[in-house]
Amino acid sequence: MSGRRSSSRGNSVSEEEINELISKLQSLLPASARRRGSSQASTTKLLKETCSYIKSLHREVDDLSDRLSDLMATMDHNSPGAEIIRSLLR
Amino acid sequence: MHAPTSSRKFKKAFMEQLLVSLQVAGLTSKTMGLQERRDAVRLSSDVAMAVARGRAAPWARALVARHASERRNEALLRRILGGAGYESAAAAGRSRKIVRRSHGACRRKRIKSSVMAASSGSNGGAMVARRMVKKRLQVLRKLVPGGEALHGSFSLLSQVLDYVACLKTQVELMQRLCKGSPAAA
Repeated sequence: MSGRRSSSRGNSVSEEEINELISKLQSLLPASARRRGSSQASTTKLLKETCSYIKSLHREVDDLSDRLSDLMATMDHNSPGAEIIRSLLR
Repeated sequence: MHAPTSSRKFKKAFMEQLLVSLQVAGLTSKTMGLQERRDAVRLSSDVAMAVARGRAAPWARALVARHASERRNEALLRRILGGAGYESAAAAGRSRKIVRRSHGACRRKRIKSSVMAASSGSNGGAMVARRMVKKRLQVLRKLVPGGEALHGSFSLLSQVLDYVACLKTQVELMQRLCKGSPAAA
């Protein structure tokens, strides 16, 4: 069973396939979420961490959208783009 | 297969597209409402990320399609993407292949996999863990744009990897814009 590749309909999942991508995923998560070992239990935990992480990134983007939109509302009408570009060149 | 999503080239393209989109959105207008402005910033950021990533990534196409499927976004998206770009994004938003599979297929797939878990193997612990992995993958499907239209766990996890890398860049670039502005102090 462990050697079986995922069918095109994806009805079965081989551990090897998941572990391969899981290890790459591990390196993307914040350091506190990293786990050693590749047992099923830690795979589940890692996937759960990934779900939480994606949700927290979404919340951060929401929050940053709020802040950015407030900033843009207060910017000078004549040079909105210049302001931003200047800030980037710092 | 994995594009260098944290590369300088990607960040540069993302930032450039972001600046263009923010300008085009006319966000300094005093007449724009709070919610409207905030939604326009979010849309600009999402679209910039998707455009910088490129049409090759299913999640990128699905993200733009999702925004295009709401009528109130049409005017802004037309300005950002151009007429042709908007039309193809709106068409993708209507197409169930890109955005989601039919509900029937999803139900069938879930039943099938739990049946497989129950009948396969003799190790009870592995069966339960395998089912939990499946559960987690289902949640991920909903979190990644277009995840529900993806076939197989391998492609889902590939998209998760790609999407998470780009999300981190999105946060980084938006933080830069917020910090950099003198008005932020």
